[in-house]
Formats: sequence, C-alpha cells, structure tokens
Amino acid sequence: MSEESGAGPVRGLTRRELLQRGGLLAVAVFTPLGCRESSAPAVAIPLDPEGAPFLDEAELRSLRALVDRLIPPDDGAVGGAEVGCAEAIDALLSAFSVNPPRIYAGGPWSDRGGSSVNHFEQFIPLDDYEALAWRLRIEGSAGRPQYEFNGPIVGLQQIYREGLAALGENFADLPFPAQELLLRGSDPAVQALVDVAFPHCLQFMYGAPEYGGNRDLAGWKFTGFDGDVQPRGYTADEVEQRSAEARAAEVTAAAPWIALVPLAAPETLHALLAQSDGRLGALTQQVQAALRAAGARHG
Amino acid sequence: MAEAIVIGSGAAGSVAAWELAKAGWSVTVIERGRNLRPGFGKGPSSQLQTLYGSDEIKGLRHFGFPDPLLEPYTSRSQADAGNGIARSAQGALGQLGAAVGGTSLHYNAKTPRFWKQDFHMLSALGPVNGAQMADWPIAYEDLAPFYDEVEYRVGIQGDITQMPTRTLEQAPRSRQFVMPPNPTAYAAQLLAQGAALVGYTAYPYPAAVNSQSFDGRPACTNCGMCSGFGCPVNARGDAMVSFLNPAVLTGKVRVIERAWVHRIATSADGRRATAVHWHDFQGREHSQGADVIVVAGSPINTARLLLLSASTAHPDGLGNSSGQLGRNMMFHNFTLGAAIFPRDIHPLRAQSTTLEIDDLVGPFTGPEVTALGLPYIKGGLIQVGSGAPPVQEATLLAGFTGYGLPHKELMRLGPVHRLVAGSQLVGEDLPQAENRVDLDPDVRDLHGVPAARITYTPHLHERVAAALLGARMEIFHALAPGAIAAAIIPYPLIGSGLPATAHLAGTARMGSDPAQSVCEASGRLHGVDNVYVADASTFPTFPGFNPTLTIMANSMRISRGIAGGSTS
Repeated sequence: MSEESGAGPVRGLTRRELLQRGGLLAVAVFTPLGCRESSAPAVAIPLDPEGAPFLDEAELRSLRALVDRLIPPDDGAVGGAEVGCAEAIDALLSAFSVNPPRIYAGGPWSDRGGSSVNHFEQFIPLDDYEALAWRLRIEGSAGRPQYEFNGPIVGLQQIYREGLAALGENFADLPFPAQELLLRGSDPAVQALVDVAFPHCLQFMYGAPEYGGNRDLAGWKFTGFDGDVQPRGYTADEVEQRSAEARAAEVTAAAPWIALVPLAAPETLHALLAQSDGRLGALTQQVQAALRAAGARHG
Repeated sequence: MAEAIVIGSGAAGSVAAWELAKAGWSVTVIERGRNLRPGFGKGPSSQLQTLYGSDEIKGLRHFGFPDPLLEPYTSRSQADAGNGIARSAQGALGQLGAAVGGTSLHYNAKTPRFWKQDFHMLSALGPVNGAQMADWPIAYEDLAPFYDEVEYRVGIQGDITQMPTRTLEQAPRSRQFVMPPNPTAYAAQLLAQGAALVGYTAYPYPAAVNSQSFDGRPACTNCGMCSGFGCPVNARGDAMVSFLNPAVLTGKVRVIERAWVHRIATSADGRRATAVHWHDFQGREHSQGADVIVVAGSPINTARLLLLSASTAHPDGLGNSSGQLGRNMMFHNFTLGAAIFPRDIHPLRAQSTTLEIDDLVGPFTGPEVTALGLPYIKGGLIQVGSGAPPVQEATLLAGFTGYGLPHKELMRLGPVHRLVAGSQLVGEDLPQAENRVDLDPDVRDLHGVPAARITYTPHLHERVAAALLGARMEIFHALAPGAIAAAIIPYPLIGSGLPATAHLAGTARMGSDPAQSVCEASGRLHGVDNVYVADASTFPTFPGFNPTLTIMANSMRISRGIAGGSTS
C-alpha cells in the first residue's frame, strides 16, 4: 500500500517542505508488515517530541483567536487559547512529523492517579492500518485513486488551511463582533473549519493534557472533573457517600438542556459520537432530533 | 488432529477457540483488528498489559474500532429502501470493536442472563403483525449450565440474595455469584430510592468486574471509565483474559491479526466448506482449509461474510436457502432517562453502572397497548445510575448550544459528570424481515470488498414500548431524593434509522425449520456440513438484556457440540 518504501520516519520538515510535497507527507513512514501473528506492540520511543508545526505563525495566530471565540475566556476562567487548543490542533495536523505519531496516547495511566510514571506521554506506535486511516483523515486522499475507493477524502490539514485563509490574515486583530460575523457567515470554508475546530477544542480543553491542550489541567478544574484517577481510583466511601466537597450548582428544573441529558448513556453516547465522527454539524442534527422526540412526547 | 478456523476473536470466537482447544483441536483465529494487550499469548492473563487508559480522546479516535474511512458501513431506513434510496448514511454505524478480544476489551461488562420466557415468545405470546416472531430451538435450561460455567470462568460479581423473586424464577441460578458486588454508586442509590417509591426493586447488577482479586487479577478501583474504555487495571473479565489468552497458551491456538476474511469457499455441491479466504493489510490473498469453520464476526459482519460467499451452489449467500440470511437485524432500542440534581452526585465514581431494575421487562398488555395495534409490549432491564466524562459531555452539549459562552456556561456546571443520574431501559427489538444486512452496491472497504449495508427501522412495538415505559421511568427519576427534574428520551422515537447502541443480534437465526432459519440449533448452517455460526447472529429474538454473557454461553454450547462430534 505504500508508495515508497524504505523511507525513515519523517522528522523536522518545515512547512515549506510540506507544501512542496503538496501538503502531504508521503505515505511511506510505515513499513509494510503484512499479516502479523499476535505480538506485543513495540515500545514507544518519542524521536522528536516537538515535531514540525503544520501551521505557520500567522495561521497559528488566527487559530488562537478562533479557539478563543469557540471557548471564550470569561470571568477569569480560561479560554481555548490559554489551555493550548491551537497548539494541540497543530500537533494533530502535524501528528506524523514525529514517531510515533501523536494519535493515541499510551496506557494504562498517567502520573495523576498515583503512578510515578506517566504512560500517556509515550504515544502508541501505529500499525499500517491505523497509520493509513489517520494519514487519510489528516492529509486527505489528494487524488490518489487507491485511497478514493469511496470518493475523495478532504483532510483536516486542508480544512484548517482553507478555513483560516478564509477568515483573513487580520482575523486576530478584529473586534469580537466582527470575528463573530465572520464565523456565523456563510463562507463554506469557514463553516467546514468550525465544524471540526469546535469538537477539537472540546477534546483539547477537556481531554488528557498529553495531547497538547488542557494546560495545567485548567479545563478539568473549570468543569469540576477529577481527571483520570487510575490506578488509585476511588474508595468505597468515595463511591457510596455524598461528596463532602459537593457544591451546589445553579440549576433549575426549567433549564432547557435538561431534556438532552439522558443521551449521556454509556453505550449510546459513544455510538452517537462515533457516528458524527468529530463533526459538529452531524452531531447537532442528532441532538436536535433527540430534543424533538422528547418534545413530541410531551406535546 | 481436527482443525478449526474461527473467524472473529470477540466474545463468541474466543470462547469457541478455548473450547475447541480444550478438546484437542488445532485452531486458527482470524481477526481484522490488532492486539492491544501487550503480553497476549505469552503468559497468564494476570500479567497482561494494556494500551488502553482512562483517555477519552483515544476513544473518540476510533481506538480499537474499525476506522470508518477504511471500513465504513452504510445504513438507511425501511422507507428509504422502499423509495429506492441506496443509503442515507455512511461511516461508523452500529460498528463493534475490532481488536484481538473484540468489543469485550472495552465493554460495559454487564452480564445478566436472558429469561425463560425469552426462548418461546411465539408459542407463549403469539404472533405480532410485521414481525417475524420465533421460538428459539433451545430453552433456558439448555443454556443454564453454560451460563453457570461462563460466569465462574469469567468471574461475575452479584448477590443472589438481593435479586427479585421474578428474576430468579425466570433465570434460576444453581449457586451464589463468584464474588460480592462492588460498592453501589451514590447516584444509583438515589435512583433506587425513587424506584422503591413506585414499587421497583433495584439490585446489584451482575457484572464481569472483579470486586476482589480473582484469577490473579486485581479488584476494580471504581474509576468509572468503563464503557468504551479498556480496563487499565485488568479488573474486568472478558473474552481475552478469560478465554482467548488461556486458549493460546495451550499451544493449540494461533491468532492471525489484521486479516479481513472475505469468502468461505465450498465444494462444488456446496455441502462442505473447503477454505477461508482473507486479505492482509496490503491486499494480498491468503487462504486456509479446516475441518470446521466457526463464524463469529458479530451479526453485521457474519451476515456480510456469508453473503459475500455466494456461489453456484449457494446463489444467495452461504446457508441462505431460506432467504433469511441478513434479515432480522436487531438492535437494542434504549429509552434513556435522567434525574437532575442541583449538587454534585458524582455518577462516574463507581464501576460503570452498579444497579439493575427488572420491573419493566414485561410483557405488558392492556388497553393502551392493544389500542395501538399490538398484542403486548416488552421492555427490558434498566441500567441505573450512569453519567459521562467531560469530553463526551462537552461534545454532546455542543450539539445543543453550538460554540461560545452558552456552551462554556453549561460546562461550568458539568451537568453530565456531576449533576445527573442516568438510566437506560434496554428495550427489546422485534425481528423484522425488512430490517436486514446486505451488501452495499457501491461503498467498499479498503480492499474493494462491498461494505455492509444496514436497512433498519424500529417496529411499532419498540416505539410504543419506549413511549409507555418511558413514562414509567420518568416517574421514578422524578422521585429520586433531591432531584429537581427528570427527563426521558425514548430513543426509538427519535427517528427511523439506526439506534446508537453496541447491542446487536439476528441475521443468521437458528431454528429447526430450514425454510425459516439460517442455522440449526447446533449453530451449523442449514445445507453446509462444516460451517457453524457461534455469535449473536444466531439469536431468533433479542430480549432486553445486555447480550455478552449469553453470546459466550451460547458459543460454549455450540462449540462443545462441535468438539463432541469430532474425531479427535
């Protein structure tokens, strides 16, 4: 499946070099292994923890402004830029500039739940299948017929690059209302950008910090989440008893979001999110259908 | 030595491999996913490592699942199909995990048994318009010894003394559970108190989770990141630790990873399977023969493979002389409930879901049912007391608020990981001829093989059951002490398409009449001497209980039958 063979891991490419390759890293960093009998994955060794950025400084500056519109800082609470959403998005766009690629953090736990070792920091080496899937998702199919068996795939790199270009070079300097107008406008490149960027921001605000966001665990502190707690876990008392630290929340039975909350069911939510595959538009359709169903039942 | 090929390494395939190896067979297991448990096949299950962790981002990135870009499914409703629409969705639709050990690596580990009444619904309750009701060719008593054996091998927690009388009448047990229940989540306790006020009994949910050290593996630490996450501490009994890894250690079982089976070839007369054909990642063709082939790819993939194996002798697909192959695709239709509290009730602090309620299993009848044209409705068990971690929460809420401050204000509350006690009625889905898996005419997988296409619309039964039973659920949520609101989403009423669930059954139903079923009670395909189906495809109906335990017990029953008939 590789176009080239024998190439070593791609490291330290500049953006210019990437562009010279048509915005694509050659699909050659994984060595064909064929059908393997069961074996443990290799130990992950980060060759270049920094990697090469995909976005240039001007793009990053616009992206920082964008993520602060998607998750705005307010009342002293952090916003998307401060927790590192822009840098984490760039780390995803340039995931294959390091080896192993920054796709799957390692297991079984970080050092936040009682372990002296942080296994999350050691990203998992991808096998051929995972590498192909994530290269296609990030870089797109780029006209290569062997990857377009179900039609062309537009990669995240292209969505971000075109979307940020559509926002304009001075997006970061615009007053907030002007930024909002651009984001709420009808430019398809901007809409495609928001469609993926907001879900990404949520991952990098509220997910594990090893992916580059949630700096200082600010996202978890903001939302009152304990974070990953393995291997320590919770004691029987912590499971069974009312939290001593439980703070009252400002909730009333009239809050409209309440109708939506039942969707937070273990199997259901996982399947819903898999179906929408990180796209805000697809998710919104699902959620609104659920609300209509709940409303229809009462109406 | 007799040789078997097992296709799929999940709950059904792993049990089959273990059972056949124990009987002296040489077994090759073919799996499209890869191994995510370092140490697999090299030492006891107590020493297995894991690449999983309490990491939500990995879950959202399809870790351990088929990638929807490389292996999409497609779907459409019955109405779409009637209008000639080829598909209305494409991607991760009803997909189960793809890894060595299958979906059981990250399942919720809830292990109720099916009930006696579930095995003979047609003869006991009669037909239902538009549904292909059927009795199972086996009874509860046929499965009971295998339930018991699987429970003791996997390590199931529970407490027989707290189980309701009707549950024990319908699913009699010969002995106490292997180990006592885990601590009960505070959020679940609150819902249980509300349920008690309307006369419902909540009791410890049987679960394949260690409440104490078992088989060298440690006790659960109540982290709450269960469904969709692999257990970081190896406290969960599953297909790999309990069956596949011990099977490989016998030296009689080998597992081929990242191998996509696309055809079972047969002799010219179609009576015997001669070889299994698969692609490796690069698309190279491989094949191997065996005395017996066990298909255990889960309902969508099993149907797809048998349809792909059509030949002159089996023009409509292997074992499809009845025309039933791929039909009767069933998904559990969850009706979702939530009680909302104005304070932190930490629903995630506990092993997954800790309590079960069986009072809405049914069947129910009465004027409100018959007025809608149904003879009865059946619900299912209720999973009591769940929440969801913050990335899932944030993404869900994003579909409601869009971006910006409204979303952030909601996340400041942290409603789904702090303020909600959720529950799910696992609703029974009736089998329908037009709910089916077939081959998509255009969409392909990475090897150019036609993708599975799922045509699905809930039956009137599922919609009525969700509406009527959802109202009953709402009452006990509202009665939970301290709750300020309750909400219900009757999922089958959301739309006419595929439910969001990991509970699948049907497509190769077993039965004694070859004209109406795909395989015999033994699991063997009608009309093919040496191909067996061992997964949930065989279920003629799909009662509202988490299916994995029954998949394992039924696979053990089928596999022991294969081994008993062998010459080894």
